[in-house]
Amino acid sequence: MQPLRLSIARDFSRTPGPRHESEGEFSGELFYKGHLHPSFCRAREGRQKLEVDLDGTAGFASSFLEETFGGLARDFGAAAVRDTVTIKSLEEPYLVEEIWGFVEKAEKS
Amino acid sequence: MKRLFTLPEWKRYQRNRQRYQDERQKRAKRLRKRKRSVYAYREIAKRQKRRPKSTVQIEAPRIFSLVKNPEEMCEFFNRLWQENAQRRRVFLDLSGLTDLTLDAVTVLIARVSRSGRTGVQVAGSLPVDPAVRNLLVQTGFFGHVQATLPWSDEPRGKLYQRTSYAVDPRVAEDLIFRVSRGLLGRDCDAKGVYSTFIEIMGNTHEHADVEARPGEEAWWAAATFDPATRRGQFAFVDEGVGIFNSVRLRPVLKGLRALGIKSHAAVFRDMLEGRIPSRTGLRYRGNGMPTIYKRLKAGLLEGLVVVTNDVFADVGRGMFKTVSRGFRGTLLYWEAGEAQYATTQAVDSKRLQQNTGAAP
Repeated sequence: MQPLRLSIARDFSRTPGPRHESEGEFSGELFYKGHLHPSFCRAREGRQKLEVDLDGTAGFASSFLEETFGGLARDFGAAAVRDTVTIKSLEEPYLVEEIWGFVEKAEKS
Repeated sequence: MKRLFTLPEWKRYQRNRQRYQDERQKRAKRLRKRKRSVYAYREIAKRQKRRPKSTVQIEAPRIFSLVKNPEEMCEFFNRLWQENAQRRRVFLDLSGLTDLTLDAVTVLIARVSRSGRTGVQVAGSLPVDPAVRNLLVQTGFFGHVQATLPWSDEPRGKLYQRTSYAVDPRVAEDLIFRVSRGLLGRDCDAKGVYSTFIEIMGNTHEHADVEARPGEEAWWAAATFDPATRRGQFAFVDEGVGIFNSVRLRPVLKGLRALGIKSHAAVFRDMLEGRIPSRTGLRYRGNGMPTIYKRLKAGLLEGLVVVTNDVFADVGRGMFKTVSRGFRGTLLYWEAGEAQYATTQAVDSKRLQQNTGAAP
């Protein structure tokens, strides 16, 4: 089955910003609420994988990634995130490891 | 009634005369009002004259760089801060400068701008050395001060200031592109530099001043391209109280610090390595400085220097030391060359226009 695809640069913004909406534009909170959460739910309902593409952006702050992927783990549990989400990052491959670190940490907190 | 008064000529004459008299009275009233305000103005000026208005001259260090000359520069900026607090007019003597870097220019413009906001005048002289003067022009410094000379050069750099809307991704992107245009002739991403800007803007927003509410602190971000070394220089300074007056350290570290066992410089090293928890108390927070350090170690930025309170950290060289003169606020300076840009593709201008953040 084809995975659902979500590109941050294409579907949200080329310049991802801070953690919370109150801090500035294109926040992780906004991306989580408007894109990642609904896509994740859709993928789970359809028993599909969700591929999140990080390429094509100007870069990421750790707080943006923590808020989105850590937030997903806090809401659904790390196991559910690991089962459903795949991360694609050819331009910044080190981010994949960092994100799974955030997911683990979010579950423990 | 005399016949004369009923004649239309008489009535016309009276109407015109009335109009003239009305106009005359209005003019007299205006003059009286103006005279009163002139007298009031003279009175205020007289009173101000009576108050001594001393102008203090401060000579800038010859090596005008916090990165190269932290002790003298901290002393210089502290002196400027003190004079500003006492509302004295300041004349900055920059004529003797022999070297100048972007970090010091950024702090200078932040301090001068603060003086302007508090109504204290700051004037200054230009560096005599033409090369240093040109460097100052290229940073974009004169876009923020009133210069008496016409500056026709197109600066290679840009200085930005933001106060209320703390994290501004567009500023970070613009500064990165300014450097890439000089370096590679096109708009290119430098992901480590972008990440550093967003992290530090966020830190300022959250932690710059324990007294201020989030988003109230002003920050300055700057970038310039040096064609001689083919490197981009980036600087970020906030007007907060500095890291060590804003971060609530773990009680153990606080105790050690109070006993003089652990210096701020050592604590800062721990902070970069992620051993100091966030003041929010949440385990998953407090990743800002450690992420910047990770990007430095990964080679995504170079030459990182942090100056905050009594800490001078040349993180790139692994040198952490205590400066005797404290620095108010936090300064980050770093560089990026072709290696930091080369891994990424040129940015398509059409893609830039899609940067809307719209829901799917």
